[in-house]
Amino acid sequence: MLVILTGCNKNAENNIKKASAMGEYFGTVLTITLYGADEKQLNQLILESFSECERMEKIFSVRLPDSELSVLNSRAAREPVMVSEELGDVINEALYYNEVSGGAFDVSVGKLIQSWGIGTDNQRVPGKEEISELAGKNGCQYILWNAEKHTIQFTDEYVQLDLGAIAKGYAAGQLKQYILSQNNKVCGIIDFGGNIVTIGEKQDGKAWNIGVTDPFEPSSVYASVSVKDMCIVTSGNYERYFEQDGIRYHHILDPKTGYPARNGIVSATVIGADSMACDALSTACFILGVEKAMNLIEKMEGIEAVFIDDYGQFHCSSGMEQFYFQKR
Amino acid sequence: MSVKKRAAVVTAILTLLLVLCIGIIAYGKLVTVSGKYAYIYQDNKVIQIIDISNVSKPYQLRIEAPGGGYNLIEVRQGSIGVVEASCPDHMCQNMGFITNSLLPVTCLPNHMVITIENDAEEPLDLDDIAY
Repeated sequence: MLVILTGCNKNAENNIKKASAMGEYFGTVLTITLYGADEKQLNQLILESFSECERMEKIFSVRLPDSELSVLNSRAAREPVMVSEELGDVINEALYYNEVSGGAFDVSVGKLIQSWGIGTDNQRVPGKEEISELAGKNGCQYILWNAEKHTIQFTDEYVQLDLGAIAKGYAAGQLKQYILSQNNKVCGIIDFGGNIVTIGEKQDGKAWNIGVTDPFEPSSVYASVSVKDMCIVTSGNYERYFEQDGIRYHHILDPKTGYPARNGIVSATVIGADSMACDALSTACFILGVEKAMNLIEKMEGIEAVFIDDYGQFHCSSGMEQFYFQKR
Repeated sequence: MSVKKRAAVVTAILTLLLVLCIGIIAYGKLVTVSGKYAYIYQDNKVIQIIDISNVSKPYQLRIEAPGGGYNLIEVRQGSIGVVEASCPDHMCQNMGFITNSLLPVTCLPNHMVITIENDAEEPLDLDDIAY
């Protein structure tokens, strides 16, 4: 675990103190920044949040061979496996987003993700036959949930769950709840590898100004939004990818084709109160393409989105003006 | 001295004082050195602090990872980034060159993080960046 305390300072005018630290969880960097009256308590809250995150990683990670998810993946094709309440809840949410997105959001593609190996030592472009075989045998219809017994079973041996597109969102939401349960007067930002969860409003009562990365130049900002107590999650093709023969192969796979999604969107940003919903929907929208994604977002209550297309043009959902979206 | 003359003198003195005050403030701002530093962390320890506000010519430095990997870092005027790395995902390279404290460059396989801190506390109009 990498934990870096990035410093504390206080605003002399109103005696508000700031504490910030970063750690490594779920294969990415988690940065928590809190503002409040008691610096010692802020630091303590951050460290406790990191412990909470470590606990959740042991449930949802596919990288940890002894996580609850890894154990489920190794057994569920043979027999029903009883799962914890948290794992059951997240899988059920994943099944819901699979349904509303018409199959674009699909957590059953674990084997396909492994086959591509994007971001690992084994990244490669799998053969056409391999891809069509794997893509054809995935699907959430092969995941059987028994609510009474709280068990999961896979009815196809090719199914392997990968919750990478939803678990981080769940974890960030849980961290926010935990922090507020300990002290509901703090405000701040949980930045989980670029998934932003804002806690309340800024100390001065103003909204948080959050930038949206420029997908064509990732160290620059394409646009900004102003939010209070909201989550902003972006899925893009610019962070995790490899190139071969001049083609970029990014990590967001289209479950229907088995290849990295290429449906016209290079960055999908979703804003809403529920971090898990934003996480799942940003991936789903990226895969769906502008038109279908916009139809989906317009049906979701309390959710707004902005998509940047292949040509650098942006497309905002109907309620985006409440967040003062500004192109930079 | 007539009332009119007195008023003119008072106005002239006040104007002079105002100009003087503005001059002092402007000078103060001019002479403030805005230091911008890049902090390179490895396994929770700061291993290098680099002043990126005074880079006359870009240069590179190689950071060896404890596990045998490496990151080749390029320092430019006001920005810093990874130009070559041994990690499999190359996310640190894909990040490009950072210029402010909002985006760190991270290389998880090599346990390396680069952040920028500005001792002049130049106010940023953004609180964070979604990516």
